[in-house]
Amino acid sequence: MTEIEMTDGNFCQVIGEFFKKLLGSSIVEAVLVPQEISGNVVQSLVCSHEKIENVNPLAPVLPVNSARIVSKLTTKDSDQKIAAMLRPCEIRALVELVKLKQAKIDNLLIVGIDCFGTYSVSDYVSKNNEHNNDGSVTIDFLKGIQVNKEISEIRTACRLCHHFVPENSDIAINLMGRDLNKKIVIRAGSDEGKRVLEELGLEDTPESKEREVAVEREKDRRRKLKEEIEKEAVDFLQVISSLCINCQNCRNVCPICYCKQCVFEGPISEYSKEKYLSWARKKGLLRMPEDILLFHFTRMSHVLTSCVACGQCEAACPNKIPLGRKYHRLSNEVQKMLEYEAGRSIDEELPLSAFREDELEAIES
Amino acid sequence: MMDKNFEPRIVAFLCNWCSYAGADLAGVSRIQYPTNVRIIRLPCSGRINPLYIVKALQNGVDGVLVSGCHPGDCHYISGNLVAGRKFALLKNFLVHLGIEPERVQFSWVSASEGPRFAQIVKKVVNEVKEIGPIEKMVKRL
Ligand code: SF4
Ligand code: SF4
Ligand code: FES
Repeated sequence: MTEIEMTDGNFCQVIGEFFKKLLGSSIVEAVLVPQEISGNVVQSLVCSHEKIENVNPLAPVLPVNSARIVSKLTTKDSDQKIAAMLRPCEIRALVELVKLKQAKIDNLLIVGIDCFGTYSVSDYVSKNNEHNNDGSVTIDFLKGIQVNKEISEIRTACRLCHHFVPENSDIAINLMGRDLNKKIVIRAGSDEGKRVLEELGLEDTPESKEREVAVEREKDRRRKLKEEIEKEAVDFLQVISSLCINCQNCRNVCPICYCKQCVFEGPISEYSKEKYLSWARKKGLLRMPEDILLFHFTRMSHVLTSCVACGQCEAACPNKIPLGRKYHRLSNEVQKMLEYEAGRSIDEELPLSAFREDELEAIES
Repeated sequence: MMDKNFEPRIVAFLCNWCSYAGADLAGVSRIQYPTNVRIIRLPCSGRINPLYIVKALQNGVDGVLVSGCHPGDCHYISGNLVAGRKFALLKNFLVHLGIEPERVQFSWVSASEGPRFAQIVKKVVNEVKEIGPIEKMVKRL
């Protein structure tokens, strides 16, 4: 049965049971699941099912984009099968990393989940502390969501996101359009997922009408929000120039930033004193450190085609530069132009390695 | 407002096999074109790195022209197609960030098209003259 009845309204426990079952079945050797650890909810790689104790994939927090973790786990070898519980933006980033040959999914069972948005790590952890880590932050959050309450702590990237249902997952946990106190629906998203559910003795059920309606309603709501946020004009060059301290946190946390060694760490950005002086002479004044704009433009030219607008860059910026909304906007434009959508399909070629002869006329200006 | 005395500096990244030869032909044929361009020769337009364009603009160059072989004529088969996409991507976000589209231009010129090269340079120089010196990127960073 895919519709799992809630015994006491504790959906986290129900999902935990699902993962225990998965581990017990020896279909997978380990599972990557978000669990409550030290007042936060972080990914954990679990091999023994008694260590699945505090699974909470619904906590409104996303400390890292787990596509990076999957990349770490799968680039070297991928013989042992694992399952990973991922949010939609993590799956989309993973799809891009596979195409960039920085992750493999041959032996990965992707378990996706509807996402209602996340808080910043610090907001989540401090709320959680206020409530003595009793799990009520997640419950209050979901209650608010169910009655369409405006929750101001939700990160901008999540407010703007319109890919909140998990595509490209083998197994999907559906929450939208359901009464979370009653049941949770687990569906197969691929043949592999179907096979696994069968093996676990769970059968697949078709998509429900209520869910479709709920998803459409949510998409509509976010479209309006997006329009509002996009109205706020930010002079990005001005903001970068005044606030960026070139710590490069944004590139460190970005799941897409793919260079194994950043050009800005190599000799290309080491210059002689004479070089600096010649620039300063020419311009009259040289802002130091001098490569900030170059850094941002390089990052943009590398990641915009595959950016999934997860907003991790913004979350990591010590000076709160609104990178997330900027990348959301710019990546949308670039991907639209190239008729590409990051994370949409594993078979779609990366736009910078594909081209058509006839498109060139359009580029000429 | 157009400053009559403003002489923009334009950097042109030209493919060795076509546009560079086209520029050469323009010179040999004594075709007049503005002296505002500084030409940098690339082995193929596919060798263009968006970094070069940004770096040039940041250092006070008022406009950049990238020119390669006509579609289908690249000596390395698809270098110009790759360049085209990379270029379109860069231009797309530069424009969104407020850099005038006239400052970054792309064209195809073959080795036999001396007059066409001269005409493109004229067009780029005039358009950049019209919008004036680049300040946005230079002043700030
Ligand atoms: S650039 Fe920012 S929003 Fe885009 S994928 Fe990287 S971290 Fe996420
Ligand atoms: S994280 Fe923020 S301050 Fe650090 S390099 Fe990125 S934009 Fe600049
Ligand atoms: S050889 Fe001229 S563009 Fe490739």
